[in-house]
Parts: sequence; C-alpha cells; structure tokens
Amino acid sequence: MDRSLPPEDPPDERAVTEDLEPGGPDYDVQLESLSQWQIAWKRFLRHRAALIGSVMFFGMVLIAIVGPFILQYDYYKIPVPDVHVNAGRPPSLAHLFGETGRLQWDVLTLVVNGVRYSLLIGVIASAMGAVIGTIVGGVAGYFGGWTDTILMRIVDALLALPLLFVILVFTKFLGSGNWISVTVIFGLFEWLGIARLVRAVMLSLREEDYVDAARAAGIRDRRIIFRHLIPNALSPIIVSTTLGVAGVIIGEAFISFLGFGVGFDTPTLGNILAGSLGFISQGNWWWAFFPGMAIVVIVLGINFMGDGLRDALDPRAKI
Amino acid sequence: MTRYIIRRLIGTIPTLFVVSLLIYSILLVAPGGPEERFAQNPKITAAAVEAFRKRWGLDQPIPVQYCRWVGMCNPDGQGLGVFISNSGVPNFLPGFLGGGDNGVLHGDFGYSSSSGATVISLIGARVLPTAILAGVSLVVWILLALGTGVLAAIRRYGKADTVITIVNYIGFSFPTFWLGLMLIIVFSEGLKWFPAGGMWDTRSVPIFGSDEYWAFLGAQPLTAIVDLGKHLILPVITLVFVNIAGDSRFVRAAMIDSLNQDFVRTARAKGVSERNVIFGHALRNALLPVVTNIALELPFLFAGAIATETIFSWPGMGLAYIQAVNNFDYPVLMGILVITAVVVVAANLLADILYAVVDPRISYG
Amino acid sequence: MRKRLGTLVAVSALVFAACGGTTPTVAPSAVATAPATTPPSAAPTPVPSQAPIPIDITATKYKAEAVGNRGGHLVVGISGDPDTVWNGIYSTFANDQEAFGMALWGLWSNTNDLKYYGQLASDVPTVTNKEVVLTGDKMDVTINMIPGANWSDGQPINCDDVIFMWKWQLDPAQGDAGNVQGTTGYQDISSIDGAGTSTCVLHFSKVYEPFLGLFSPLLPAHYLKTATVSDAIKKLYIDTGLKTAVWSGPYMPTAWAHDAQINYVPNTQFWTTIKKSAAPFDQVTMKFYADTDAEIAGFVNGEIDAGLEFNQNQVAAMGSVPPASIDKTPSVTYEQHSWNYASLTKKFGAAGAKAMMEALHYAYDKDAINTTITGGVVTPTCNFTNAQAWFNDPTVTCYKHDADKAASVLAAAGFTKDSKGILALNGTEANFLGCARADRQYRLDTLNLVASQLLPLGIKLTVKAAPPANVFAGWSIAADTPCNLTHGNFDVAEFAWVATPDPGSLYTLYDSKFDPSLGDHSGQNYIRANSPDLDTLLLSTQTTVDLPTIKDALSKIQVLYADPANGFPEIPLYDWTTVMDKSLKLHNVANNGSATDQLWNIEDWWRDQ
Repeated sequence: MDRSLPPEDPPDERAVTEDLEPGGPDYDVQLESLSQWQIAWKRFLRHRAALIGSVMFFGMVLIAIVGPFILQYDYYKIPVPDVHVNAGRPPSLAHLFGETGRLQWDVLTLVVNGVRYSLLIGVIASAMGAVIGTIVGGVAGYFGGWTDTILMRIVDALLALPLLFVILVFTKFLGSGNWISVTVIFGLFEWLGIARLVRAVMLSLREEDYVDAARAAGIRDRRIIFRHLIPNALSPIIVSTTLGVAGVIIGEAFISFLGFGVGFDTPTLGNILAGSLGFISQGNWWWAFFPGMAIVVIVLGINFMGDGLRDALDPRAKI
Repeated sequence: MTRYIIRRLIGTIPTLFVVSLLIYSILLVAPGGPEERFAQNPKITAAAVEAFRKRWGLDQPIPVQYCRWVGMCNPDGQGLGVFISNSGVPNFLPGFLGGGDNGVLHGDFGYSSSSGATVISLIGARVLPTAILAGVSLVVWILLALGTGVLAAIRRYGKADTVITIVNYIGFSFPTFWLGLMLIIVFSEGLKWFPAGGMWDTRSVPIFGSDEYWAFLGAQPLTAIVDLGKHLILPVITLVFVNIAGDSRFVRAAMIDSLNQDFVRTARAKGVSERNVIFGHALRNALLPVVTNIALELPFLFAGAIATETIFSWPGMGLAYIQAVNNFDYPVLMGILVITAVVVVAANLLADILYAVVDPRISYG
Repeated sequence: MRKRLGTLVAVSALVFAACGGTTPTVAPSAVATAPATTPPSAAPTPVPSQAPIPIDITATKYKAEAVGNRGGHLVVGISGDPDTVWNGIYSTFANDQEAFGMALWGLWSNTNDLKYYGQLASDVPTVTNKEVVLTGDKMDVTINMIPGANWSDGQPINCDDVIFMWKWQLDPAQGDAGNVQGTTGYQDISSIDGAGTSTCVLHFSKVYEPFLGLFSPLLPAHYLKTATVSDAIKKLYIDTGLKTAVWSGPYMPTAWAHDAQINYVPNTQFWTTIKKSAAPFDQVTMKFYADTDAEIAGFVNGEIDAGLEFNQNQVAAMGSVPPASIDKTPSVTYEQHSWNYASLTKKFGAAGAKAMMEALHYAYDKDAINTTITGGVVTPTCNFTNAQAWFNDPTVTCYKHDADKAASVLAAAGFTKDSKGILALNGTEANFLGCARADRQYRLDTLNLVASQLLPLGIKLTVKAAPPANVFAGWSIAADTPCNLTHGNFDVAEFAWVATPDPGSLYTLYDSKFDPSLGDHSGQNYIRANSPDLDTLLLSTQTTVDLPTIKDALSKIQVLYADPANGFPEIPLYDWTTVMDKSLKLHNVANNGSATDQLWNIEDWWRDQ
C-alpha cells in the first residue's frame, strides 16, 4: 500500500547547492513558489528515469483513454467464438494478444479495458487518500493540541495494522465485487502517509513568521491553511499520491487474486490475471502474460516517475 | 534513558487502545456478524440464530461487547459493577492481582465461532511458522540489500549499478501472488525441484511444532533443516524479491552519502586501501540509518509474509486469517489483527529506542 | 459421515453453499469452486412414504478388490483446512466430511452409485426386509447394529448410543450451539426400544421417509455425556484433544496442524470388531493446500497420493497431470438456468411466456457450452434427476438444440422482430436480465455465451454480475435488490442445484405454493413454476407410500420438466464433474460423484508397493 522507494539518486550536491537553494520566508511567497515549480520542472526533465517512467505511465493512460475507441473489438460486445476452444487461442493477426480460455475474449481488448479500470481505481483511490490525508494532516498540524493527538493516534493505530488485511475484510463484507466500492475502500485507507507528511510540514511552517503575521492581520484559520500552508506541502503530497497509485493497483490485484476484489464483470488487471491462472498449465501463457506485463509497466512507470518527482520537487532531500 | 523508554512505553497504550477500537469496529461494519454463516441455511431458525447470538454475547450493546472483549468489563457484572472483577478489584488488572480472566487484556481472545477452539490455541500454533518465514526472509533481505546496495554505490552509474537498479525496480513492480504462482508452476510443477507448498515433508517429517518434530530435529538435525530449507526457498524468494528494492536503494543512497563525507575523503587521502575505506569507514557510517529503517519495515515484512503464506500453503497466521475472513470467524480475525498490531507497535518502539540509543543528537530527557 | 446421506437423502440445495461462506476459497472463483458440498441450505424435507418395494435401493455395483498389499503411509491432499470435527452437526463444510467421515461413521451411507449400505448398521431397513413397518400413519424402523462393534476406546456401539444421540439432538441447547442438522426427523421419533442391545426399534409418530439420513454420524453416548450439550463444541472433539476423543471409523485422527495436515492411524477396534481384517495402511495423512493450483502442483510433484475435491473448473489447470490420473465422474450437482416464469408471464402473458420458454429450451446449444466453458469435461443434461437415482426414468428423452425450431415456435406465438431486430410481442421486447454471482467467471461466461446463442433469434440477454450475498439473500433483503432470487429480480439466473434421489425435495423447488413471494418466503421455487399439473404430481409423491407410484409420478414430472412443449422455466445445462487426481498405484478408489466425500470407501483403499 504505502510502499515507496527512496530517491533514485541522492541529489548531486554540486548541482544542487549552488542554483537551487530553496526560498526562505524573506522571499515573496508567490514568486518563490513559481520559480520553484519551474526549477522542479527543469530538474524533472533532466531526470532520465523519470522521463522514461512518465512515458510508460502516460502511455498506459493514453491507451486506457483512447484504446477502447480504436480497438478492433468492443469489450461490451460479447465475443461469438467461431471455434469452441476451452483453452483459448494464441496470439494471431486477428488477436494480437491471443484469446482467453472459455469464452475467447480478445486479450488485447481485455487488457486495455483492464488498464483503464485499474488506473481509475488507482488514481481515484489515491486522490481520495490525498484529499483525506491533506485535510486530516492539515487540521492536526495546524490546530495541534488534542485535535492533533487524537488524529495522530488514529493514524498510528491504523499504521500498526496490516492494512491490506483490513481492506480485505472490508472488500469481502462491503465491496460486493463492485469496482466503485472497492475503490472507495482503498481510498479510505490511502491517506495515512499523506496525513503524516502534511502534518509535519504544517508543524514546521506554523512557526514561520508569515503565518503569525497573517493571523495577526485577522485572517481566518481556514484561509491561512489553504492560502499559505497547503502549497508548501504540495510537493510531498504529489510524490506520495503518485506512488500510491502503484500501491493501490498492486493491492487490488492481490485482493482480486484472493477472490475478494472486483467482480469479473468489470475487467481489472488483477481479476484478468486471477481468471487466467487455471489455464496456464494448458499452455495458455498469453492470457496471463499480457495483463501481468501491463501491471509491471504501469507500476514501474509510476515508481520511476515518483522518484523523479521527489528529486525534482524537493532539492533538500538527502535520503 | 530509562525514563525515555518508560515514557515511550506508556505512549503506546493510547495507540493500542485506538487499535483495539478500530479492530472492534470491523465487527460493526461487517454485515450480519458471526451468525452470517448460518444465513443460507434454512434449517437454522431465527430463534436458533438469536440463541447463538446470546451465547456469543452478541445481543449486548456494542460498548458492552467491546468492553468485555477487551477485558475491561466483567461479563458477570451488573450495572457499574461490570468494571469490577469477581474478586472485587478493577477487572482490567492481571489475574494474579485479582483482576478478571476474560478479554484480550488477559490473553483471552474468545472462541473461534466456526470450530469452537480457543482463538489463542488456534493462533498460538501459527506464530512460529510465520516468525520463521519472516525471520529467514529478513536475514536474506538485509544481506542482499546491503550487498547490492554497497555494490551499486561503489560502482555508481556502472553496469552493476544499472542492473541492480533495474532488477530492484522490476521486483518492486511485481504482484507478489503472481511471482509466487509462477515460481510454483516452474520450480515445483515443472522442474519438481521444490515442494508446491507447506512447511515440511508430509511423508518423512513429523508435524512442525509437535513433540515428535522436536525429537526428530534432535535426532536428525540436518534432515530436518534441509527439509525446512527446501520448503522455505520459494516463499523467501517471493517475499525478498518484491520487497528488497526499497532497502537496496536505501543502502545505496546511504553509502553514496557516506562516501562523500569528509572523513572518507580524508581516509582516502591518507592512503587507506579502498576496501578498507568502503567496509571500514563508509559502510559502518551508512549502517545506522539502514538498521533503523529496517526496524521500521518489520511490520511490512510481517504483512508480506502473511500474503506469501496464502500462496505457498505456509501454515502461518496469514492462512488462518484468510480462512477466518471466509468463515465470518470474527474472534479469530480480530485476534490475529490484535497480535500483528502489537508486534508492529513493539517494532516501532524498538526502532525509536534504537535510534535514540545510537544517535546522540536525539534528546530523550 | 454426513457425507452422502446428508446430501442425498436430505434435499437438494443451492451449491452456493459451497461458496457462500463456508468454503475457504483462497483462489478466485475461476479456479476454485469447491465441488458440491453438503447443502447447508437443506430445506425441510417433506414426507413421502416408504413403500413395499420391488425397487432395490441396495443393489450396488461397487465391489472392493481384495487388499493386495498392506502397510505404508497414504497421503491425500485437499484445498482448505476443515472447520471442525463436528461434521454434519455443527458444520456442513465439504472438507470436514472428507477429513472426518473416515473417523466417525453413521448407521447407513451411500455408495458411489447412489445405493444404500449399512455402516454401523449391518443392513438397510426396508419394507421388503420387514425392518420398516407401517401402521396407519405411524412407522417403526428396526436397526440391526453390527454385533460386537466397538468404539475406539473399546466401549460397545449399541442402541444406547442411538437413544442418547436422539435425545441429545433434540436438546433445546443445541440451538445456542449452532447445530446445523436441526431436529428434523429426530422430532418425529416418539420412542426407541432396545436399550443395551444391538437391535433398536425407532417408533416414528409419522411416516418419515428420509430416516436413512438420521444418526449420521452416530456419536458415542459415553463420550457425549462428558460435557453439557452447549459445551460440547468447545470441549469434545476439539483439535487439541483428538487423542482422547472416541471414534468409530477405520482411521482416526491423532493430530491436526491447521492449514498443514491431519494425521490418522488405524482404529484397531474398527479393524477387529467391525471390518475384521487388518488395516491396509499404517498411517494416513490429509495434507492441506491453500488453493487448488497448489494442490495440483503438489500432486504432480508427488507430495500426495490423491488430490481431492476438484470439479470441472479445475480440469483446465491439470495440464501436467497424466490424463490417466484424472479421475472424473458425473456429479449429482447440476448447473442450470433458472428462468423467472412470473417475469416472463408479466412481459408476454401466459401463452407468450410458455412459447418463449419452449423456444429457449431449443435455443440453448449445450454442447457448445460444454466445449467452450468446461473443456468438454461435463455431461450436458436436460433433466434434474441423476441417471443413477432409483426413480430416474431413462426413457425420458432429451430434446436437441434446434435454433430453427425455436424461431418457428416464437413466430407461431406472434413474436415479431422490431426495428432494432429484437423480438417483441404486443410491443414488449424479448429483453432479458441474466444474473450470476460476480466472483464466478465461468457463470458469467456461460451466460454471455448463451446470450450470443440467443441474439441471432432476436432475444437480447444482458448479463449482470451481482454480489453473491445479494443473489442468494432471503426475503429480508431490500425488495429491489438486483438479481435477488427470492424477490424474483431476474429474468434468468445461473447457479447449481444438488440433485437428490429423494423426490420429496422437488416439492419446495417446483410447487407453486413454494414461490418465495408467498407464505413465509422460505420456498425455493425461485423460477415461480406455476403448473397445476405439476403441483398435483408433486403432491402425489408426498401422499403415497408406494415406491412404484412415486416412480411413476416422477416419470411424469421428468417429462413435464424436460419436454420443451411444456415450457418449464428451468433449463439444466450440465451435470458437474467430480474430479480426483489419483496415483495409479492406488486401488479401490471409487470416485463418488453423488456427494462430497471422495474418501467414502477409504477402508478398502490400498496401494501397490
């Protein structure tokens, strides 16, 4: 779930220290953040792995969006097998990725639609996590005191549980095989890391002069949080959310493998894989291989990209 | 220092309390409850289900159920007396102080609602297998992470670095179950090198954990350990391969960081051999963040071990958990969650203390 | 021991039992559906009568080959740890029966060809052998226990055990303990004679035909007495106390390592006082795998002599198992499409609905379903009976797939294609909702395949996957829950029934009184079959005591069911296949498709050196 790799590379000091000193409170806030984004963008472009990762990830996103429209076969149109082969048929010109066993779905069509749903599940759940985490972490960090204690205890407690297992109980009892409820369940458990991150940023920024100044000027708490504090926490949130997408996709695959995930009427990479397993020993490798590769490409792309983003957005990060 | 440790220990109590609340709330969100497993059996009448609920205390208000399950409340008590044990002292106290004997606090996790056995006996037999799988994996994991991390660091941007980086990233991107199943199909069903599942050979080795097993281990230690090793290989590969990436990269980063430090440059300038520089100076310095990081990853290791068990039929807590979920066996399910949560909280505490001990910059006044 | 009797005599039941919460399905549905389990959803069994029979229900073809080699260690594999030793009493999980059927026997049981034989009873009471005596509406059954038979601790097995278990089963505390066998049948016994002897006479206050399913397993009175009824599940037959528990079967468990294995040793009392020969194996082990894929790999790898409890859905995964080792036999479980007759009638009126059903029967291409969905390992069927059931009428012929005939039937009934190419009658389109549980890919695929067969005719079938809990939930679930069978929110639904040789169970499936919208909503007539002729026939099987008469009625019911002209709203697709992977060195393995217990005759098993 909240697996993350350390940065691709510790920042190269010679490159970093000179031109990229992050702005302090004496800069104009807006100007500083603008330049920071520009610098980050430049640095991201220089990050080879991040670029490759982005190509992989956004390539899959593109496939997910336009794929279903340009494919030869429509997922929602039931295949009418001309020859009845239980094990399916290997890749051919008509079916580049082969056909599944049983009903002989076109594997390419399945995979493209699976990528679509897996990405939807991953992105929505992670976005949910980012929103919840930002709110919880922001509230805890800004108000401090009891609010902070109670919220952080809940975070600690949830982090102490093997979350995949808690999710498993929820998907078994409440998920009912519906991809939306599975997504929501994942989203409800995706916010912990982000809440901690945001809280930490809040705590450090609370002490900054301009927040005190804003407060002294009578600006309301909520405005302070959203105008000043959130933008500062944005970088770690982006990185964490990006990596979270990969975590959710793999998590959903595992849950589907155990039979608690998304029902077979909605193709996800996880349940396509799960459905294919029984047919491998009949020689049908293509049904399992292509969705498996799709998972690897997406997750690999996200990890490369996430690492690049981290390096680009946080020049101070050492390890 | 002692005060710091005690303070941190006390600090875990509220966390564990919230953990227990969260775990108990699973029962609230789950439809039906333990009696759900009768739902599709028309022979079970509504009256029988009601009787079953009563027997398992499910007819009580939720707070009372929770209180009894945790062991704060005495099931025999009435009114406010529920908090008082049968010997007249607060029920949450340990048994030898006159407290109650029910509830998680007293090591009583209740009975499995599907088999009737005590939860503690069901889980008890599962702890060691999981610990062995997780422990062996941890050792392999640390060694490999150190080895590949150091190699990647000293050959930075070299071929070895590239290969290690790519393998790490790919491992990180693999769904655990997928890798595990492929290993079974190739090495077990295909090549027949390793068993398809389980922890010991059914025909030649007694049940693990039984008296006969320990006797066997004493008589033929080599056979027993080789057998265990054969069964461990595939699950450990699975567990390590998908998880090592993080630590390997972490070691690499720490090593690069450390190799850039002044004292290493000084050592080099003084003519200390490169080998000595790397292993004597840089690695030692890099080890601290690495070790504390690994302590923090223990819980993740456990969760991973549990997932791996379900692929390799490893008779540990993970399989027990999956079965409990399938059977609506809430007492077992909650018991396993409580135990893993306690292990995780303890591991975090250990990491904190370890860090405080070795890092003089952290004040623990 | 609940094994075959439980399944066969009691009732037919939804096979979702296998998956609805009791089966630890670790792998996803496509590869792991436990085969037909004993139905937890056993409906109350109605009361047909035992008749003077020229029909021999004991004439089995099974004959054990003499043991050619003794000694050795038999290891069998299965997917999923059992729940409890209390199989059939506090649990109805298939694996429990496999694991403990060999340790605790009942009075009677079934062979692999659906015939009856005595286990702890020396014969099967029938009217013919005068051990069943009907007096008015009362019934006396004489049980001849095996003389000299002992429990594993040397205590005699006799009528005291029968009497004690009868009372024990009726104890009100059983409800609290979650007894799943219920009081059905036991409550009809008014008294039992023969205490202390091996000949007991059960006096039933009314005719109770499925009495052969009672006392399955028979439990030892002296052991049960050591705990209160409500404590029994916690104190007796517990996993850590197997060595002190009391057994009756050929092999008794000594140790149970959950999710790993159960060890058994021969029950010497059984072999000296019941079987009167030496045990073929010194040791038996049941090894548990997390899923069927691992179990298959374990068999290929030589870890087990036999892999149990597979069905047609796992055969595809047995690519590396030598074909001769894959033992397949037709199961009494059959996959079927339940069409909702009430919904059809609402759409098209009585005549239109009947024509539509007739056309649907012809429109299904079951051979294509077999080859495509199951790889040709099942037996397409057109009837609800098992070929080996005593009442089956083999002369009832199956109709053939005939799309042209389907089209002409629909045309004759006035259906015409509308502008969208969909058939319609009086403006109502033949647009149907097909339901299956979301976690069973093969069912969704089957429905989709059928949809592709129906589309050329102008019948549109939209497949919907629904959570299993919603599909099979009872009346208390929200009335508009999509795909719910009880509320009839479907046009067609795919699931499996466990067929039964006891015709009584058909009553609650097909009699119009058991439409679940009516009465106490416990009926299982989900298809809303509503045929006065059928009701009359079903009633006749309930009120007669004459087996030939019952058989005659059943024959007519079979025709009613299977002749498309009658438009019966249930379309059976195929009989499941019960599969076992077995070492070719094993002898006397008689794969039992009649129920879940493939180890039913394990006392006869032996293995070459």
